[in-house]
Amino acid sequence: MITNFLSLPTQASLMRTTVLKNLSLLLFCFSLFISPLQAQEKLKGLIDGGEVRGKPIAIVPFKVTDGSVIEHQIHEIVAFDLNASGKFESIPTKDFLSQPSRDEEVRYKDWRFINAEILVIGEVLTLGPDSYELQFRMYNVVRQEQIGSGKRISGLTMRNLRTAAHVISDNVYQAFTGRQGAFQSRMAYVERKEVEYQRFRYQLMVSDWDGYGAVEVAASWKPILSPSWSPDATELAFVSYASRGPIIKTVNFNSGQEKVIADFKGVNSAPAWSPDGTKIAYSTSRHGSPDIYVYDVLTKQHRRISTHYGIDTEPSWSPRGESFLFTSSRSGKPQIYSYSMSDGTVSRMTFEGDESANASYDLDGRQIVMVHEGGQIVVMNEETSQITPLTLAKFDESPSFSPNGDMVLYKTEQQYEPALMVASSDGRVRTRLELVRGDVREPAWSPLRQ
Amino acid sequence: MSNRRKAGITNRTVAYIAAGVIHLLLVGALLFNYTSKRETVEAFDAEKIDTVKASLINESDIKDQQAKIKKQDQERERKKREKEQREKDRLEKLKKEAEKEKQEIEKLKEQQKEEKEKAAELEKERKAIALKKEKEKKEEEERKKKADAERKKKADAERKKKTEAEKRRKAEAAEKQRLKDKEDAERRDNLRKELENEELARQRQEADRIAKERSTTLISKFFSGIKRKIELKRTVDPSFETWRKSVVDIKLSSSGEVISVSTIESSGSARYDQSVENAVYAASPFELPNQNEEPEAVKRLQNFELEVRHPSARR
Repeated sequence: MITNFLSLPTQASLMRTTVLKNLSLLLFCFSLFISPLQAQEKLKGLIDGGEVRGKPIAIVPFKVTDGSVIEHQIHEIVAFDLNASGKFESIPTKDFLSQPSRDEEVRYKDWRFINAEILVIGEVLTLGPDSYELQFRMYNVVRQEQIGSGKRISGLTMRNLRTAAHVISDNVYQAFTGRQGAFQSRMAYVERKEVEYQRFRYQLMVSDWDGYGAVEVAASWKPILSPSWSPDATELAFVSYASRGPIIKTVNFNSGQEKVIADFKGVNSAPAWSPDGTKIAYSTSRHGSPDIYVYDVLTKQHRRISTHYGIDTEPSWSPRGESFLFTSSRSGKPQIYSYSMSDGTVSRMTFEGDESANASYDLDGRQIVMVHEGGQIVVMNEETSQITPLTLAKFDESPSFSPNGDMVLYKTEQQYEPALMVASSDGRVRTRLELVRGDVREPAWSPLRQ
Repeated sequence: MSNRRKAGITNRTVAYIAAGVIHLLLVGALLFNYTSKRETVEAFDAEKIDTVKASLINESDIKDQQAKIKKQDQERERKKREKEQREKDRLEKLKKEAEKEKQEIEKLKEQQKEEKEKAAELEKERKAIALKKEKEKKEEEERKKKADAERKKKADAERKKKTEAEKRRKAEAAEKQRLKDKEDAERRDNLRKELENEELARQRQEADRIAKERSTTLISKFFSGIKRKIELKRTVDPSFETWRKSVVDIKLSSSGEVISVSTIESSGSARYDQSVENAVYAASPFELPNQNEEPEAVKRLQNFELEVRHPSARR
């Protein structure tokens, strides 16, 4: 039949009757002649959909080689870390079709089926009593390829297995977002404990970023406020109440040594360590109205920066330290201003709303997080002044960026109970740090240890 | 009519004028004769008078008179001489005229003679011509006869020829007819073939059109399919700017598996480009039309481009 079709012109009459019956075959013939001749335009399509959300990631429970149960579920820690960033969404373990822990056990089909884009597998090698090694691998499921080769974290004990989990999180974060992870950073906060009836003990605590492993670095029977990290993350400056009022102190974690920075008459508050660690800006009312002063750590000199009769407080340095933000009531209501260290000019940064306070920059100075209208955390684009709300609540305070600028730590109230929260900097994901309980406030995210 | 009248009028006028002129001439001639006669009388009388008077006047006058008379005499003499001369001339003239007439008569006579001769000659000539004509006529007849004979001969030959030609023509015609029939048959055949071809072409076109429509349908179906699939699988990082878009070139295997995805127009962000490529890989395989039924469409769909925009891009 096909030969008949191919000799179309000569056997035309014969064809006529059969043509209609065999349309599809004819089509086939045409495609045979035509397709090589016709230069066809390339087809074009448009995709303008998709979901703005974290990448679906499957983190397989790490297999412990000797079968023992370890305290920390590595995959849960990693999942918590990555989920909190808002850039990943971990798939529940119960959905997994297989639980590989080695490269040869990975079947991409299983992971494509549950729409995972990323797969993380690994195992915990028990080398001896309290001696562990952690191995992990990352896969790009959609491309069906491993990212790099397997990694190994050795010399671990049960205590720092958790830290190792954060290392995995940082690795995944770096590999799939191109940004440095902040999961090995820490935070400081103040916890108030009722030791006896109406007798409170105030503790300055430092923990992992997720609230695990909190240790007390300073304590007092009077309130502690405004912890501020030194750039090397080894010291904290904070406000402590002395007999005559609030004073500014620093504490070194390693030595436990405390130093008084400013104990002038009046209110000394809101210390802020400069990025190079040589200066601490703070607010004091030693000359009447609260003004910003800068304390030089090396020379121990105090320099008055602002002289306005309004309240100037809450200084916060820019990432390179050439200026700082502060809250001032000079326009009647609290607003954010910026002071330039080079020429001493003050410029107003916020114009929206009645109140803006407690501002601070992110990693590269493009965004400013602040408390808006006395209780909502917002992020403002430094260039466009465009505001993105991170929270809806009316009782949020003390926001601070994670060292990579992708998350914001703040304090809120949940069911009449204070809670520490982490929001992704786009405001899409908010995670409560469940590990921190009690009457906690004044959280401050640490810089990354260099 | 007017012309004739005009001519009448002119004739009449001429007649009047001629009459006038004649009258004038006659009057003139009369007057002339009278005066000339009177002159002579006068001259005679004057002389007479003059002589009577002479006695009364002086010497000089007489002298003058004498001179005058002398002069008059001379004049008279001269006139006489002139008259004689004139008469002489007239006679001579008449003589000459007579002579001339004589000559002319002679000439006429001669002419008449010549004419006579000429006529004779002409007659002669005429006779000769007639003779000649006769001769010619005879010759002509002869020739005619000859020609007739010849013609007859020729005609015979012609007829013969003609019959032959007819025969040939007939044969040719038959041949021609045969050829024509053949040609007609061929033409008919060709026409039929052509029609058939046309029909075929039409059918082919129709099939082509159907195929085209079919392929359009297939293509749009395919694209809506991949759009749905990719958009379902695609996750967009919250940190991507909404204005970003990239264009990727996608190659599929015949079974619809993504063989390669390459960014041919970057969004400016390597991570965005990569996430787009990932989304395409994640959506693999795509459902292609049946390979056996629509090989052309399948072939076409195995390589295409996708522009991938941010889901929140302003439209």
